[in-house]
Amino acid sequence: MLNISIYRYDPHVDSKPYMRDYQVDPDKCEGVMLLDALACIKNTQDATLSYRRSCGEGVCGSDGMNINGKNGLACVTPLKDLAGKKIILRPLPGMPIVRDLVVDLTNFFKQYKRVKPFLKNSGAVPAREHLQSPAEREKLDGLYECILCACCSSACPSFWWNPDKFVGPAAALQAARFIQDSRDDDTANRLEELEDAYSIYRCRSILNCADVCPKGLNPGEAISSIRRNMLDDGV
Amino acid sequence: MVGANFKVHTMDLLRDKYMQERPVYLNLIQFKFPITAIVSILHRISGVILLFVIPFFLSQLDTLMHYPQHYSGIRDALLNRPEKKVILLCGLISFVYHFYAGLRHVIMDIGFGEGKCAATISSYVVFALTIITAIIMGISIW
Repeated sequence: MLNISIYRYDPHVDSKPYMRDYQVDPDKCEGVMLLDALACIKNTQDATLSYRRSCGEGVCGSDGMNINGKNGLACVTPLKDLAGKKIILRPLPGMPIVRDLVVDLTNFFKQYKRVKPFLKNSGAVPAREHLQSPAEREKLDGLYECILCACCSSACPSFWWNPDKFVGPAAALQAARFIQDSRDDDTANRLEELEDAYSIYRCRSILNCADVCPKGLNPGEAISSIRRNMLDDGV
Repeated sequence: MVGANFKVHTMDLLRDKYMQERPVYLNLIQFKFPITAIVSILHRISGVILLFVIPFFLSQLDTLMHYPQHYSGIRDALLNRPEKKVILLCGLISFVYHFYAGLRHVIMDIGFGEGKCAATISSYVVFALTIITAIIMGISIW
């Protein structure tokens, strides 16, 4: 049996959050991942348990949560890796709690919006598409794969203390993704908008972001690349 | 259109106000930090310790510059009791650790060792160098 302790909070009922213990038989779960155990609890023991989920296979980034002290996606966390110890599930740190394991990601997406995560090209619209050489395309590897699960930003102390000023690892990774893109010609403006003391310079390269990223990305490295771009451009 | 924008803006304000009253889970003791974060936290703590240690050593140096003949007296005053030696060693370890961790930080800022694996290895190197230097300093003091 799996012992799972889950952070519970219903704003309409509870005055403050509390931890509730559940016991789950992994053989009765419909899959082998932590998300399947949560579904098992919701379907058979406690229908009031709330968490986000969608694809269930590490693509949508909905089910980010704090698993035994470390952020991750429940859908790609195998139960066998957690066997033999109590599983403690809490919401992503540093974000207002909507209910149980569901957090309010408004500020996270506000920062994402701030870095203008879309291609900007002032040139003539090509007949078919903006071409890119294999070498130029390769520069985007490690940047474009982000699924915006918020595991990194909610694991970053700089984002905990300055959520309104520091863009956070996820948004910074997206900024780097478009700064590195050979088809984007708004690089100077993108760099200028991030040049203040907080937007990306709050990062101290402690790499909590890389440690928790379920896609194996390294936003810390991307932030450093932006800083070097700023130096090269003399921003 | 203006009405729609006003409505959206009002909804944003209401949601923000509503969410400000919500609890936030942020317990640093329950959070599992990687070694790269621990190096950074200790870097800050050692920096705070140095805030007190460096002025003390500078004041001792100042005294020595003015009164070189007091050297043996100052040395004895610093080292005449085991607990004083421990405090002195802690101050020196803070200095050495801060130096090595700072050097690592500068190297990373230049663009080397920013990968997760390299940063983890360099964190262990900082700890190993600090321990080795601490042992050498400990032997010298005793």
